[in-house]
Amino acid sequence: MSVYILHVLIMVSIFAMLALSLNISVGFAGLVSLGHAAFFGIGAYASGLIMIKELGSFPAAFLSAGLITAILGLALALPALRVKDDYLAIVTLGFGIIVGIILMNLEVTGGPDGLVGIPPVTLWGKPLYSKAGFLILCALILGIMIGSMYTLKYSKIGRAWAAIRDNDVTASFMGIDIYGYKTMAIVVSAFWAGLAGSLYAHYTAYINPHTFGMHTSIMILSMVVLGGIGSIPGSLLGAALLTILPEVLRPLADYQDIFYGGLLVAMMVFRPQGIMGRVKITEIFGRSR
Amino acid sequence: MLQVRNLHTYYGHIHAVKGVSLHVNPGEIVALIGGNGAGKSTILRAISGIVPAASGEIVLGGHDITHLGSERILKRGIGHVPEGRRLFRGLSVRDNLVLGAYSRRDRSAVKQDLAAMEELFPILGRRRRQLSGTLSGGEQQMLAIARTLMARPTVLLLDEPSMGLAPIVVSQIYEKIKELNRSEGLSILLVEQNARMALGLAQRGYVVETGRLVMEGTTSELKASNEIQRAYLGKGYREVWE
Repeated sequence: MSVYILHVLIMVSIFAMLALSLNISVGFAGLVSLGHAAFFGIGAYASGLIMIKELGSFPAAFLSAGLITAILGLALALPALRVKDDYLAIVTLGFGIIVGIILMNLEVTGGPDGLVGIPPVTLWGKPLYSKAGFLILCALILGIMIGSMYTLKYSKIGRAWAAIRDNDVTASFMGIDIYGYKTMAIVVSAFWAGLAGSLYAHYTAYINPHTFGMHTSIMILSMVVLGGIGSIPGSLLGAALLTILPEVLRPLADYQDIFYGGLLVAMMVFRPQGIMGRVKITEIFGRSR
Repeated sequence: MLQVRNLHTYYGHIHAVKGVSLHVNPGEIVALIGGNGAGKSTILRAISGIVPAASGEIVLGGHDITHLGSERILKRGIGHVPEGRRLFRGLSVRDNLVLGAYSRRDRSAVKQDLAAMEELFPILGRRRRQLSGTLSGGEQQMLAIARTLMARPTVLLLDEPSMGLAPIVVSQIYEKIKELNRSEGLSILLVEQNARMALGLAQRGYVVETGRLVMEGTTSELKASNEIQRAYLGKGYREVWE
């Protein structure tokens, strides 16, 4: 397989992890997020810094990236979940902007220049330079993630999330701890986004704050919405489509964004529940019931 | 069984319930009647912990439950069928029932109860996979009741089960409520605007006006009262389905 195709497939798997992780909060629990790329960035920077400063090897950096992102997810969730729906969307948007500004201004993160020279993934003491090897690693982690997503979705926790997404007042009548479950959704979602960030940082070896801004947040949300809110195969498909399409449309470079915009508009008009979803975006965003 | 003493609740600055005391004996059906905005639903919400009680006491089987959270109150045995049914409309009938048993840990008994509910309300068995939002109004009310019963309450709070339903459907639902009370010995606190139906079913009743109890007694006493006849039953007027 050509190096180029391997590269595209690696990006597909990293964005699939991001879309799936966002689908936990947006799709399973109905919590809109416009700042998901911030979690992606936190994981990338955490993992990159741990290995640059030689604080730990790759597996440790990878897991720490997930945990650190989860803790920051908790820090966001505690105040943010006091509000809901459109207001929550605005709070998460603000969170994304704040994280971007912090990454841009801290000395340790390299400011606007970003982190340079992030070491590659090392397994059993050996650096993994091969793209094919890295793709296998990504696919493996993605596989574990998909498995855990299905387990979660059909567990008692998943049912509680579905109840909260459908009608949170009634969920409290059933004795479901709404605040606790919403917090859990954001934390789990942040954890997986942090892991995706770690893979990305060690893959590209160079990261800067620009990558983790609002454009990426919207892109990840588009993947979830396009594939279908709450649908696991939908997120995979959405991530694949929106990662591969720009490559295919490269000759049209300047018109790409018009095409995207058009795609999303057409989607909202003809299939608001996404390609494989059941829940319409209007049921998550701006509920007026 | 259930005792409420001098209950006060507020919505912001609005004093919605002003010193209400009432009780429900084991196996009894008690009706709470009154007009729109009288505070009937708020009393139920305070009992189930959805709305905090500002002062007063709520006692269930000798234990003070006034300041427990709604989850704990549910576990203690108070089931609340909310006004307007409030189903999980985007979830299936079966999922709604399973969520009703959310607070329980005894999986195998939950399975038995699922079967029991489908026996009690056969339509719910036939519509098991259907989204609950697509059920008819009466079916939705049955599902709302069944869903609350899945938590195995000892006291059932029923908020306006007749709301928005055709008279014949209301009678069917009242039949089921009577059956539950008779066969399971379930204690029921029933809130209704349809005073005639409620007084026909209950053994005792309370009349609520602007957050206060203005009258109480057995249902035959209440039905005989001139005031009740004039204000709630429509003196000299008999409803068609009776």
